[in-house]
Amino acid sequence: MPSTFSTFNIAWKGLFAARLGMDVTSHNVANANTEGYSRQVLSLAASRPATMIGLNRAAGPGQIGRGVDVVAINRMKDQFVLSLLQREQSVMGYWKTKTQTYERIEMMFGEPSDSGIAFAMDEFFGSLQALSRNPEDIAVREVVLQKGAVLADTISLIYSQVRSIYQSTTDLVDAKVSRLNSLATEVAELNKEIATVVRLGGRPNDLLDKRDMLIREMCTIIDVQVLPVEDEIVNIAINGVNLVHRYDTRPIEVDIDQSTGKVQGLRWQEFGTGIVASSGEIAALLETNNVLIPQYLDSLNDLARELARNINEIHSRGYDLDGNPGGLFFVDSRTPKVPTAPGESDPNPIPLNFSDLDFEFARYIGVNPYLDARKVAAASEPPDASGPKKGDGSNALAMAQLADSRIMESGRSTFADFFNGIIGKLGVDSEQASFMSDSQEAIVDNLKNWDSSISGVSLDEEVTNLVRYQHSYAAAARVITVVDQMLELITTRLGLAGR
Amino acid sequence: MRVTTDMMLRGMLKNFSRNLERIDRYNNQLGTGKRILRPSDDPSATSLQMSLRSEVRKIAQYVENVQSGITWLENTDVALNEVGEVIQRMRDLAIQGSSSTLAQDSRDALAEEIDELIDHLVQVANSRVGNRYIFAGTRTTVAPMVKDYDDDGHVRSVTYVGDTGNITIEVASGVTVDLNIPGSEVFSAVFDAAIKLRDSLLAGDLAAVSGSCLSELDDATDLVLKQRSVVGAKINRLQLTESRLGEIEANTKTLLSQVEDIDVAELIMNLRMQEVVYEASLNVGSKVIQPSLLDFMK
Repeated sequence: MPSTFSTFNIAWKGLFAARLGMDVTSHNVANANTEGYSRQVLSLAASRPATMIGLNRAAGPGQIGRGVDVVAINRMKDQFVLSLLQREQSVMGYWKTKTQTYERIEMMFGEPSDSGIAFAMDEFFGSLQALSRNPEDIAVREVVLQKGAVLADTISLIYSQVRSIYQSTTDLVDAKVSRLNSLATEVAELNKEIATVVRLGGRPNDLLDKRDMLIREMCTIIDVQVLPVEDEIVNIAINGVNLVHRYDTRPIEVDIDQSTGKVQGLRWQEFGTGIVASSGEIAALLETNNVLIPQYLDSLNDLARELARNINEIHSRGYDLDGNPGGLFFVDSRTPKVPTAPGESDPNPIPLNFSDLDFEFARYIGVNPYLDARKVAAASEPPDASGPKKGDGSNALAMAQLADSRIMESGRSTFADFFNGIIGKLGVDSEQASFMSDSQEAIVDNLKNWDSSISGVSLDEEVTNLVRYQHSYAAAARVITVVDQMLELITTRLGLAGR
Repeated sequence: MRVTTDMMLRGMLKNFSRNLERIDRYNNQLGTGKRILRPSDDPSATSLQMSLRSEVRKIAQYVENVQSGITWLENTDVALNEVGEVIQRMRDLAIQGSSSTLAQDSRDALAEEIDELIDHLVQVANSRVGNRYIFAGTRTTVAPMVKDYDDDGHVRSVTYVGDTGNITIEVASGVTVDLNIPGSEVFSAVFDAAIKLRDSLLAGDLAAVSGSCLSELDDATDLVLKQRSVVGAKINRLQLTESRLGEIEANTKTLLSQVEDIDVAELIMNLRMQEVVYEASLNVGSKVIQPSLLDFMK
């Protein structure tokens, strides 16, 4: 037979468990809106029953229960869902960043509109048609120069805007990498705290939540692998190399091409070897810089170069209003190799081949600054003894007809087709990226719901638990009162017979 | 599935923002009147739209080319018509002057009139459209016919100072039409015949007046008629081209409008529907997030 006071002990354990339950519940309620918080549950188990071993033990019904023990306060978390979420978050980061980039490029091209390259090109060729109708008219000649300048400016403006994405991408990658490094440091520190708690036999629930949040942010930035080791420590690796190794980190840095100032990739500070990002925001940013932007810039360069080359070829074959041979119409504004004064012969005849100026031609294309309205070469016939052929617009017409010539893509498309192709591809790519981004977001949302279904706080549930623990507490307290009364009965009223 | 407060709130916020996004898109389309605001809205329609727009601008250029061509040719026709009338008058004068009963004084008077007619012909040959001499080849800024007088104040000769270049316009992609007739091709023969007639009248050479002069005038008439028929045919062709371009322009614009313009009725209906959905989602939301067990515990 156990001691008379043992019931006190059982009741006290009940009180304690109920109070702890209240604490856990109120902690859940308080953190119902905390991002990354996982609900905690009190894990209770019946205490080891008292077994009286010995031959002289009283014959009884069996083992007697000794109340309740608090086994643990557990964090509700599904590691499988968590790892899925981490991976999908990387993919979402990738597509979201790509979508943003495409949206920016679309904005810069500004098509379809009446202010973009397509419109400026039509206007320029239209002005050449008008010139072919009225080659003697100075005002019409002036318009050709203006439309040519607008076309050159539009191309070079859009080129520079698209090019400026290099800089902003480089800045962004820089910011992301330093964020990644500081996240790694935080994770390493949390590893240490978590291990300490675990080794002391505790459960670092809130610290684990915090670390999960940090890791999820890392996943958005770049595709990291999370490798659990003992004592709830995790290592974080990129390409199989540990970024976080227990309590230490191995920082990464941005690999910048010194000559162009644009980011090429990432590398380990320690070894200098490169890192391949295959997913996450950084992967999209690097792809933007290394593949996407060069593609659009190349296309613009091709367009500007071929336009200038072909117009120049015809223009320089023609004759101006005063019967002088026409020079270049479009030039690379960095090196205007043109006659210095009207009528003066060119000391360095300009090669029609632009090969030495190929680099970034679209950025610097401009109308030959030495051209004025009289010097636009509208005539194709040379002057004869009685002077220039001012009414001859056939050279202007030949230039205007370039609009319909299949020049681009080795004779497969006209300038307009080529530019339409650029915009069409941009549209398709952008549409695909935003589609992927949307569907990836849906996947992540689903996983978040799944995660929330396991780890999220349900207020109804918590209130129910609150009431349950309240009642348990009251009942345990009642047990103490009853035992108290029993003891009072024994100590004060029992054995009055001998008094 | 265990449903948590957080899940419901997140789902609702998501729905709100998705509905608002659609409303915003419809609003933008209604505000701009354009179906496509960015290439990614509809990539294939964007390409089509851009080439159609370019087509419309190009057609406008061709229409201008054709119209200026028609003006040019009509002026040419008027001038040639006048040349024909002048030649006819000269022919009348030649027949009159070939009569042997006519006194030489009267013949001199006839020669005087021929001189006037030559002056008039020079004026016609120097006619302009806008600032351009139409019978000067490509030397359109200089009057192509220059008179040369002898000591008696008669026109000795008329020299052509233009060239034989072509004034060409494009009326469709790769299709060009030559507009001009160099003055030398029409007028030189006429002037030669007229001057010869005058000189023969002055000299009283009746045989020449009734013989070679008349036949030269007839040849000149034939030449002018032939050129007029060429000009007439070109005017016809350009008028046909103009109306065909008009049709193409109308068709292209219709197609363009189908591609890029919104269907207002449909869009407004979509917008209304979306607004209803949005309101419903707000309604449901307000009911879903409010109650909890706490509301029912006293």
